[in-house]
Amino acid sequence: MTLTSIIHPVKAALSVLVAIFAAGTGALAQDTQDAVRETPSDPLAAGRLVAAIGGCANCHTAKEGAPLAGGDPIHSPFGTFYPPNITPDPATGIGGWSDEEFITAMREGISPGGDPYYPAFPYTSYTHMNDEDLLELKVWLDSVEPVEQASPAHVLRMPVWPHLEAPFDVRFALWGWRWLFFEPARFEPDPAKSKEWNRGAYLVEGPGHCAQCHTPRNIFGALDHDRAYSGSATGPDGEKIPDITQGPDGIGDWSQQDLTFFFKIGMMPDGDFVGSEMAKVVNEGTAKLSDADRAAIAAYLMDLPVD
Amino acid sequence: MRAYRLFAAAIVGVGVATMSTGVPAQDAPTGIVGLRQATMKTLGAHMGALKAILTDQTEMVDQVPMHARAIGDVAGHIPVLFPEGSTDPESDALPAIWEDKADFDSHAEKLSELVAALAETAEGGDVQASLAAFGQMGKEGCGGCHETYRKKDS
Ligand code: HEC
Ligand code: HEC
Ligand code: HEC
Repeated sequence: MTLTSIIHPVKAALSVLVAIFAAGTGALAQDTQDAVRETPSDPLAAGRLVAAIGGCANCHTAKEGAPLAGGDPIHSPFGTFYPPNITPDPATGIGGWSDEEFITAMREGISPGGDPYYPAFPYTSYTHMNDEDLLELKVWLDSVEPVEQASPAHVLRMPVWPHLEAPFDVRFALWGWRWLFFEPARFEPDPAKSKEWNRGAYLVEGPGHCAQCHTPRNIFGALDHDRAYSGSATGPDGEKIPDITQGPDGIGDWSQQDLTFFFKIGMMPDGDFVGSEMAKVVNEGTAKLSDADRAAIAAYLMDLPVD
Repeated sequence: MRAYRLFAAAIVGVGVATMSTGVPAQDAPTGIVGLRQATMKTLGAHMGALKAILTDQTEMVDQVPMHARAIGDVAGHIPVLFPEGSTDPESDALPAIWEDKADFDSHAEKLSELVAALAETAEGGDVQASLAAFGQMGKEGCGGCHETYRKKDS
């Protein structure tokens, strides 16, 4: 991607319009299986684990709602997004999707009807997931109780006319955004690194979608990979997402054991417990992984480049 | 999903300025706020010792109840460390504490209960079960109160 492509006026305008959040082409490409797998042999149990680290329920299950039958709205300056029903209900969920359709949605962000998804759905990370994990994930999703519940339409807002809020669809404009910021990718292990590191890289870059929160974004809402994992600017109420690199504001003073334990129960080295969104990531996600997987995530984080 | 909303907000914010809470270095608070922060830190220290026992020095599991009792002792005093109006620019205590002080106090009580359960489990000598009780105590006892009554960014 070049600067000229960014400033191409039409494309840039379209992109701004739809720069919801989430994006970015990862540095990793191509698939691999053997080096990076450590999941139970029962596909259903394995799929449940993939869903856990993928955090699907964090978005697709509403606070008081049935599992995966549609999540609480995500409010953003670009509008309000309703994570849809992904139970196997054929009418209102994703029942009847073929494996291929599911993989295309997860890895390319394209619906069975051929429309692009808003990057509020973190497919820009899931694109790094391998076939086995996705197929097992689907086996588990297919086993979830089907719930008939239509998903509300997203309410998009044009930042240029913030007072105008309407359920209009600008999916067509996503093609421009994708063209600038997204390219389907696959995880490719680095043969120079250990098996543990590669497993950690896969979990963090792919299903764990850690970058979606911990990597800052450019003005188009795409991840700024030059500053990967260095934390995100403060939100309106002064909350910020911490830097998890080894840089001065990061977690250089955490040992691998500190990190592994953190991903198990959420305790930080000073004895304090993690809160907010990260508590969900730990309790519903990393806490369910094996000790080896947690150690792998730690090993990868401790080796993140510092800019 | 708040964090996702936040980046969305940040996206717009980034265009204006990359906001950072660069609070200038200040002297640590004194008075009651200084005391309660120092007291909270002692809780953190006991948590560190418990972690070291339960993940590394497991043969010392009989020392778990000692740290658990200490935490329980402090927990009983948390309510009086937060008198009405004890704010300070450097304090992370949220005003919500004094909107429903009874609920805040009940979190301290909950911590006392969880920590008693940990001590009891550890007396049985089961390290794995103690670790689980420890995790629950941290998440629900400490984390449960921080989630509602402490500023997120410190
Ligand atoms: C950060 C919140 C978030 C997370 C985490 C998330 N999703 Fe979604 N997902 C969304 C949103 C928002 C949409 C709607 C996108 C659109 O309409 O363009 C969506 C759409 C989808 C769709 C398309 C549904 C349809 O009817 O076309 C599928 C399938 C899906 N998600 C599966 C998953 C799975 C499986 C996981 C876990 C591995 C997951 N999602 C995690 C927010 C999320
Ligand atoms: C939904 C957003 C979100 C996702 C996804 C997420 N994090 Fe976090 N993370 C946070 C927030 C917010 C905090 C700060 C929590 C707090 O201070 O209590 C945090 C804190 C942390 C910390 C502690 C840092 C510190 O200095 O205290 C680590 C380590 C971490 N995250 C690693 C990860 C990893 C690894 C992943 C992927 C498996 C991940 N996070 C995914 C939002 C997220
Ligand atoms: C009843 C509510 C409550 C409970 C229970 C609680 N805390 Fe706190 N904690 C707070 C509040 C409020 C603050 C912010 C105090 C301030 O800055 O004035 C705080 C601050 C802290 C701090 C930061 C102190 C500093 O350096 O400023 C640590 C560390 C801490 N708590 C650890 C713990 C641990 C560990 C536990 C459990 C064993 C725990 N807390 C239980 C309410 C609670």
